[in-house]
Amino acid sequence: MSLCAFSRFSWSFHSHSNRYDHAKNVEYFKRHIEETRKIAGGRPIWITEFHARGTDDEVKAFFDQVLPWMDASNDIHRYAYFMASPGSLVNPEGTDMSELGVYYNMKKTGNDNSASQPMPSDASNSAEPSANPSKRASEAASEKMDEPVCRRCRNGKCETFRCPKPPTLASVQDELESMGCRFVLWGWICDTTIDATIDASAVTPATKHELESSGCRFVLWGWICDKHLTSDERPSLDISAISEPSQHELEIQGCRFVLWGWICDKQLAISTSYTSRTTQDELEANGCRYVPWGWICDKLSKRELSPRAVQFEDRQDVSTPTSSDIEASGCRFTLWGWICDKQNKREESDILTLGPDAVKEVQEEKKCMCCSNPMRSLKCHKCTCGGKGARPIKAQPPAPVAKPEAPASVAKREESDILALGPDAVKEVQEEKKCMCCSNPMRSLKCHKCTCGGKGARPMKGELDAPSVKREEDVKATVPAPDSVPETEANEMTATKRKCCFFDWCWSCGAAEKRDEPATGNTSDCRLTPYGWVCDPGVPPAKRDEPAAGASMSKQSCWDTPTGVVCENCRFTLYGWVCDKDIPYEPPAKRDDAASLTLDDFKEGKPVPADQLPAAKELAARYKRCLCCNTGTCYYCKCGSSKD
Amino acid sequence: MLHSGSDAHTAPWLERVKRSAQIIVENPTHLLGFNEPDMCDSGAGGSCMDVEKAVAKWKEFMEPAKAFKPPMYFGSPAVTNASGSKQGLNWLRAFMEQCSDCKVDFICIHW
Repeated sequence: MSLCAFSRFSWSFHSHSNRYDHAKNVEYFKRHIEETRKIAGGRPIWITEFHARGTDDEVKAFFDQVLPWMDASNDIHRYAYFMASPGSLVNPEGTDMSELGVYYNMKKTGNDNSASQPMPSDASNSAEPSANPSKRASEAASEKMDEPVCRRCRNGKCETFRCPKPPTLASVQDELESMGCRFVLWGWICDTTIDATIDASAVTPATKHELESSGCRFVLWGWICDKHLTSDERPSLDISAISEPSQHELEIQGCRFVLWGWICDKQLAISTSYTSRTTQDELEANGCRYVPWGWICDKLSKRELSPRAVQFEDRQDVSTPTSSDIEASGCRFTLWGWICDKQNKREESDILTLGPDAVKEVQEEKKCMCCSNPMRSLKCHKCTCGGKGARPIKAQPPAPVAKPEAPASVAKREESDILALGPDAVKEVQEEKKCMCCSNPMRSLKCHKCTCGGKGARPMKGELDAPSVKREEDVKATVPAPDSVPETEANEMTATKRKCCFFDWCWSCGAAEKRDEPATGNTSDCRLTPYGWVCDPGVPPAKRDEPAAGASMSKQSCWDTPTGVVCENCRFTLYGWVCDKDIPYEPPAKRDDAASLTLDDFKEGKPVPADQLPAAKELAARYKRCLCCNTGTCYYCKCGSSKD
Repeated sequence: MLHSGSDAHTAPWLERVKRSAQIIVENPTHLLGFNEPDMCDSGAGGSCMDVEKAVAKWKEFMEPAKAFKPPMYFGSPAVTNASGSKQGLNWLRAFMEQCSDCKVDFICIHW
């Protein structure tokens, strides 16, 4: 930031220039920014100099009108009144702020903590926008990348401290995910459990209002976590408030319940670790808020509604994506919700990043979007319709009620489609060091091998791990249609056993076709696909795999998340994390011990109380610290310092 | 900020950007383009460049900075609010059209 120094020449001249308009011409100022927006195409706008002619009172009135207006906008990220010099924002003696300067400072920061604001005299040599007073304190906090001062509050007492060195985007992402967070594209988040009669999955203007008046709001994207905060920081959770039927109902509609979570209005520039509770204030300052619990859903268009849900009209809310939009964004619906690509590495020019309005604009222009879908991000830009990869961005007619969508997308895949062939096929491409070219039509992502370096080609490596257990569907996809399968082969398929896991218990469970076809009527509408289970609405929870009584169980390599232990049968795929089993939440009480320990507790030589031992081990594993134990007594120690 | 396309400004530019960007490598660096390129009045502080020159200089001296680290954001040339056909937002619009393959992450204006 220190690189951008406004020209001294510019400043010295402007104070004498009369080209600035009069303070009374507020409308011109706003109109000018409106005009700028047309050029900006959704990019953020910095008003790096603005000035109004007039008396102090007139300029104050100008501030009164334009500063809140700018603060309320989403795209004006910074502004700096011209200028911090004697006679303007600084008094003629140059010793302090002028009356106008004080007014500007107070008006725009919304707080009276003038000590934290840079003195005007500083501005002449650190003349860059972020050092100048700008915008609300909350937004300023999100932007002060060059001032690593953090604040933490505990029991009402606050202190400032030097912010920890920010981790890289990738490390935060990995850490968030390892802690049971996931990134959601769109969703409703609520403060409380919502009335079961509200179907959050098929939101019409009517239900939108209902949701909003029920303490819910729609978020564009954000991380949603199962992160635990101790009860003295946040209200304790009453899980009993969630009734079984509504829970199940919501789950089958693509929602999931989160115990604790941060949800943000915008994607954050990551400057600190979100995993530390000391960043709570910072998250809040960045437009995030904490929800004690809530349902997070990805909006669906028309899925079969449960009998208790209201009937909706066949119209769509264009402000929010349809299920086909979501699918086209690299997401798909599973039993437990939508799973999507990670969405972190977006760029400003990316239409999706610009939000629903930008997408809507493309729709209205009757243009198409072309999307690339590299491993870690989905990027879209306008392109000519009809071209390769182009897809019309228009509100799709809702899918017929009661007609499940996921099977349709699976069925539409072709044998030549690498993704449909499953992880093994993808792995094969990787090993051959070939590339995949993928088209991304509305309802499925199809890929085929292609020459590396060509348009749309992407090397296949890394992310897509082959499953530890070969899945039934993988086999199925590589063989001809079932009716032409030789009998012996079919028997072999039937005999293939899968491993099912529930927490750290794994057992041998039935062949996949148990779920593949709904036998008749009301049994199961789920099937195993190469990418996980997809289910139709109406699958009773009881149908989910549970450890059979007396089943032989073996422990697998597992890792810890706030919600429990995840075993190897979860894996990251092109579309996100898919697991064979639901990962249910645990009551917070079970994790209190673990959460009450922090890295601060790791003091070498300090003994570990017996009741804290499990929590200490957990932290040690997570942060790669060590415990030394001797005949049952443990203490914190330097790794490698003892054979104990 | 790269104030203008003059040699005095461009010669040390990339080296200094590189050095500064490495001070805290994880933090984003924001670079600003030219100061009031549409302002040609003598002594007015404008960098006085036509769009063609600005695009060329941008590609020569701004675009390479992308390589220094990932969180690197570029602000457009900051134009005045003059309304001439080659000034103000008209200048900026032409720049954005002619530099459509340039990395411009946010828009800077003056009023």
